[in-house]
Amino acid sequence: MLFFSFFKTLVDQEVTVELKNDIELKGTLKSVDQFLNLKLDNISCSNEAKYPHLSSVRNIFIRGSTVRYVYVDKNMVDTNLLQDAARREAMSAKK
Amino acid sequence: MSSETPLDLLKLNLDERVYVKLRGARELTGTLQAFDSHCNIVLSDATETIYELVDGELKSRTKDSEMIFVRGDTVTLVTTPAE
Amino acid sequence: MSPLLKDFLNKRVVVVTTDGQCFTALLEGFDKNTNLLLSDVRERFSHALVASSYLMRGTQVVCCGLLSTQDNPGSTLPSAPASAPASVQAPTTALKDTKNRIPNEHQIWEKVWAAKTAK
Repeated sequence: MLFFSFFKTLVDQEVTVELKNDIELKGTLKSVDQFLNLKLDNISCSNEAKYPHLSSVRNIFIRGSTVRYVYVDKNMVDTNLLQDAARREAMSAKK
Repeated sequence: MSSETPLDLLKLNLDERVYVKLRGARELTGTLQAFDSHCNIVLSDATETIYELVDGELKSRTKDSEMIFVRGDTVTLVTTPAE
Repeated sequence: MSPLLKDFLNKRVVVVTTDGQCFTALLEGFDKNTNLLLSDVRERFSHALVASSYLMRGTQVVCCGLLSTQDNPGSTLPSAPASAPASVQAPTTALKDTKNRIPNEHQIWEKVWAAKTAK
């Protein structure tokens, strides 16, 4: 649940998602669910010339399992809070 | 203490530099900010290195990012970086 | 469970699959595993009809994007080619799959290791 909460704090922020098929999408994070499926608004594809498949798509659903990375701006994240949450998650997972 | 799992030990590396090896000839070094039981990871000030073989010769390119979430299913190894 | 796709229901969507195929289709239904019920499934660029009805397994789905060039829900056949602006040309490179198989990955790591220990 840690990363579900993490992504919920990033809603309405601009993120860049790199998929496992090398497509890179930048857009505003609109929603996330417990599988870490993501919904992005106003997307632009940073390698659109190579992959025009998603041109004329603004609003996209991404299946969590196909995500490789999500790039986030540093100032969107409270690192102390995140580390504490990770410690707590590790504790609760032990049960 | 005896019931510590491998992932519990990662807790000790929070806020420290770690080296993460990934599928697809990729690796990352960065400061560990968070992880969970799926090995999903968040690193800050990370450097990704992608290796490829061009005519039998090793080529690498790097990419820096200030904050990166890595999906756990591509992670194969997490350790402290060799200095 | 997963209401993320609800806004796309009965709209024309672009679907990318894990094996690197790309379709446009009308989204008729979905479930929490991202299994998709699609109709009027067409190739993304040639607009050739693939199937009039298609149940795509969730495990095959990479992403599902709303085609924004037409917002009217019911439109199917005639508007499909028309909805593609001239700028959307067939790609020169095919989409990759999501497996990320690299031939001889172990040899790459061997060389990486050799290079690192040599330092």
